[in-house]
Amino acid sequence: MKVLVAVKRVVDSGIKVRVKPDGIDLQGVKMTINPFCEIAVEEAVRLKEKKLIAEIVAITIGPKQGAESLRHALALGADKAIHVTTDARIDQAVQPLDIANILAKIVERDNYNLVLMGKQSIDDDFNQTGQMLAGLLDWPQATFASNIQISDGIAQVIREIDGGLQTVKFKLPGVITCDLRLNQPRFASVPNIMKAKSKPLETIPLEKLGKLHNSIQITKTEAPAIRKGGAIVENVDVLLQKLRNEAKLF
Amino acid sequence: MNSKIKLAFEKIVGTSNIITNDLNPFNTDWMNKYVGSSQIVLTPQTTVQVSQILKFCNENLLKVVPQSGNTGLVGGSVPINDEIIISLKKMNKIQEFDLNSAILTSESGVILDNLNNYLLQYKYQMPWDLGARGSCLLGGNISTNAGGLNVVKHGLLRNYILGLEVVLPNGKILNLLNKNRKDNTGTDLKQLFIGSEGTLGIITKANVLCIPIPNEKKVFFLELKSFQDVIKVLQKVKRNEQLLAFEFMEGRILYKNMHRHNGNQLPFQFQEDRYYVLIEISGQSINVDSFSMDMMEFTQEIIMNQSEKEAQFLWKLREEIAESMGKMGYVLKYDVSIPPDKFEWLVNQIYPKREGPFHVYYGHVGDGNVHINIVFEQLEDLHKEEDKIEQKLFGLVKSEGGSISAEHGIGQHKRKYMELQKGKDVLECMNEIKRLFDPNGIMNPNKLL
Repeated sequence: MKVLVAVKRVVDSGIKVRVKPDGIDLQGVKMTINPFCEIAVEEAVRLKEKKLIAEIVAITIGPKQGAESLRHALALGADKAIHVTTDARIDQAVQPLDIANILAKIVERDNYNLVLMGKQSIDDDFNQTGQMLAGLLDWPQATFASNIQISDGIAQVIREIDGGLQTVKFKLPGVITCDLRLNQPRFASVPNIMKAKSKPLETIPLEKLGKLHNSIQITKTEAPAIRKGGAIVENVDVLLQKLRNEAKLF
Repeated sequence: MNSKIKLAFEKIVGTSNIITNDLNPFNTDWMNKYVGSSQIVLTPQTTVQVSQILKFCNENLLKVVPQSGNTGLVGGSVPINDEIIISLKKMNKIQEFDLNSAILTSESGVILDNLNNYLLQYKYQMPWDLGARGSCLLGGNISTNAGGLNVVKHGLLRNYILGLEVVLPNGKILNLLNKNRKDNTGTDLKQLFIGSEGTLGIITKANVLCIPIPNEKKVFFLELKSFQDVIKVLQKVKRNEQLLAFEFMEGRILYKNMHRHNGNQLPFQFQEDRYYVLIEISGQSINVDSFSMDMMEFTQEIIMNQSEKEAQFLWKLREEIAESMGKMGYVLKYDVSIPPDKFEWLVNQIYPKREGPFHVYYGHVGDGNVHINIVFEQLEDLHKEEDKIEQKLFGLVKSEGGSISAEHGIGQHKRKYMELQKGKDVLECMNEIKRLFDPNGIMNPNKLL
């Protein structure tokens, strides 16, 4: 069984972002693999360790630094990587439908049994790519996975949904998007990081696979309002007065 | 509290800067080991107020304890009896940062973290870092010559203090401020105050040479089979100018702390008989590969952080050791300097075969500075063993030419060992200087000397 894991490179969630009028300032900012994508890679590696899949291919779309996230995936245990190169802003100009179309081309080219990806990226929070890809491929999908079991070509996925947990089952091939509680990704070991340098990495210019249509335009980016300090009120009367006059609740 | 005295203070700082209730946090040190009984805390907001307070106290022979973040580990920042506490926390104005010279001018009551937040806009940072960064104040750091995590790369705090404003015990304001990188104009008086633990005067302002924030940093976590392997790795990587921090830990405490991280991925399944090292490298453009090759000569068990979150988690494993041991019981904490390759020997001299109460050694092996923590379930047992352990430990340290306090200072804890450490002549010289500045002995009495 062959698995394609799609990973996105995003601003490191551990650092403070700076907001510019045209978007988040990416200049000199630390970037790393999207946390949900990392979970997807980890899950693929665990499935391979259980001998349920034979090969893991990691793919990313982005500028040349994107290769670092692929090397990370290779260090965690992916076998090969594909780098679809573009200089467009990956947090703005590379959008779900375009990504899904490009991934669909690769899926058809290489014949995968399963596509794993993060449920959403932490920069745009779109939560669309996996679903669109499944639609384009006419494949079953399971999103927000918190548990994945595979046996005899059948995937059984427990999904985290608003009401609780939902279990779905489908015959592979299919698309699964990964949620927070699926697993805790391992640390990358230095020997594996070194070995990853010699694992195959294929580079394809984006234009060879598709086009960026920019159908979604970002018109404004602003920081949230600075949180005002709270206050302890002496009694219920003061509380009601503040709710009425300051919070304007009634 | 004498009402005439309280009135005098009210005239100097105003009632809003006098605290007489809920004094427990001011009277008690961070470890809950040292508890004083001060009746009053003053929170001056200007150097002039500090000067007037000390003048008054000196004239009336009132003993004082200057207090910053109260994060010290040797009981130096809390009163022993009812000394008046002078808290610097409201002296918290950062005055300026000169981008050309990288010199920061600030009042002494600013939290270390806040200094770094301020410097962020200039892409500069403070040249020292320690676990207490969210609570400790600049003045406390300076008066204790705080050590911390990055001494192995950046050196000592005192090398970065270019100027000070100090209020002497008699109230005189000594202006030693200086914004020049180089200034060879006589006896360097500020060095007396740096590390003097509040016994010679109160630091109210400082000029600090700051350092650029490195473009890149990486954190490694290594598993090694023995302490000697720790030393071998240290000897190899110490030559690399990228080395920012080199901290070692025993498997026995990491193993014990594993339950604190349920659900979180750990760098290794910690084993009690192994040794673990956290290495951080930094630079404007770091070379990870050559550094990796150096480390791989000694072990294959090395992980590297891929994100800021992972880096923070790895540091947490190291920085939570002190707090986690504090939760296990009553802790004797030691902080000594001896040649790094003798750390293991030293601990085995105190507890042969590592028997006895649960004890751990860890820390800044890159600087030859080891922390030894010993946990007792009952406070009485700690008191029973304390003197015996210290005599033995400090005697051994002294015989190896080491220091009984690498970075934590003397405070109350190690006062009685000053003669052992320094010898009669040196100690007498220190006392002469103390008498010169503080003839009435009001300044943080019964601490250090």
